[in-house]
Amino acid sequence: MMTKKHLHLRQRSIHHDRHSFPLLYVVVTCLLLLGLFGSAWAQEQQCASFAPPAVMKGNKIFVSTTGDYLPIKGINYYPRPNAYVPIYVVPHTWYSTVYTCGFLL
Amino acid sequence: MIDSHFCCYYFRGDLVLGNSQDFYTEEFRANWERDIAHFQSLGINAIRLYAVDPGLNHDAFMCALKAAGMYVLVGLAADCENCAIQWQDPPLCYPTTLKKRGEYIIQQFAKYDNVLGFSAGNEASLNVESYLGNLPSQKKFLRDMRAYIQQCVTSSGMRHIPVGVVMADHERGVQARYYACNSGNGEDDLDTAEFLGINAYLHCDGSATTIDQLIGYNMLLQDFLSYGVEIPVMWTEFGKLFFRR
Repeated sequence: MMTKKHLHLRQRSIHHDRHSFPLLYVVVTCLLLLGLFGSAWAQEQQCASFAPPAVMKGNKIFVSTTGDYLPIKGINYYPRPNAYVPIYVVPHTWYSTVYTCGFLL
Repeated sequence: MIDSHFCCYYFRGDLVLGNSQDFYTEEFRANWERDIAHFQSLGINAIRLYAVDPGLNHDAFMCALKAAGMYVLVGLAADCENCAIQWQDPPLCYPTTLKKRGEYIIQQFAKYDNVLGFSAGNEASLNVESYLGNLPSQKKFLRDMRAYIQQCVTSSGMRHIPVGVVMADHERGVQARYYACNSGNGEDDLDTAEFLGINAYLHCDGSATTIDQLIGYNMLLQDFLSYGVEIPVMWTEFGKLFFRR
């Protein structure tokens, strides 16, 4: 026989169960969001560390944030296989298994 | 069928193969991550990309370059169909879809802080139908791209990113002055290149031991000093020519 006390406990239990799941969801969601934004923030920090915008003035290029002269020294990045395929078709697709070795080492 | 020699590739100026491939996506991360480490060991701070596909996502690649301290010169022209100023005389040499392509690339790349500039063309005056005949169209495309950037800066606060041109080393004085001067109607200076690239393949002497002995290089320097162009000039391709007998 259910006493008033039991009923009260049972109601509390139902009451508790009804809210514990959403609470769990909220906690998990918060953790996920924290992880998501945390990693995005970390990536943004990593990205923000170097190569701030450059500005061109007269014959020279400068770093916008510091005003320092920015001498540019670089290469043309134009990846192509070193051997094997003398291909003269433009454009040519490089996305086939033929090139697996060349591109995925 | 995989040749055992075909197990690595490096950047090289083999333009015969065409330049309209875009490897700068997540799919090729393993390759460009390896290459960016090479860039760092070379001590460089910039790369030039000939051709990009604005429909692809370059976030990871551009971020990795930025983390490595690398600036990027992005080409708006490529050798895919109607992706660059063509060899005919105007107006045929300016494809109707080229302007949209250029604007699309600018839209996609303007968000990256490490974009050094956009190149409106690579060697447009090479193999032309008539003497420097397509240069006005190259300049019109440059003007259109600069106008688009100016409009974006005004309307959405986009960062101002310079647009320049890369020229073949042919009539270098005529081309350099032409691109660097304002040939417009005086309303604005948007048809002026904001930087200039030159692809110079010079005669060289393998026995030279000092810079003074590098005749072709010194002539290039003297020539550009004499032109008095007031924009940055970059050596965007280089190589050597052999004396023919």
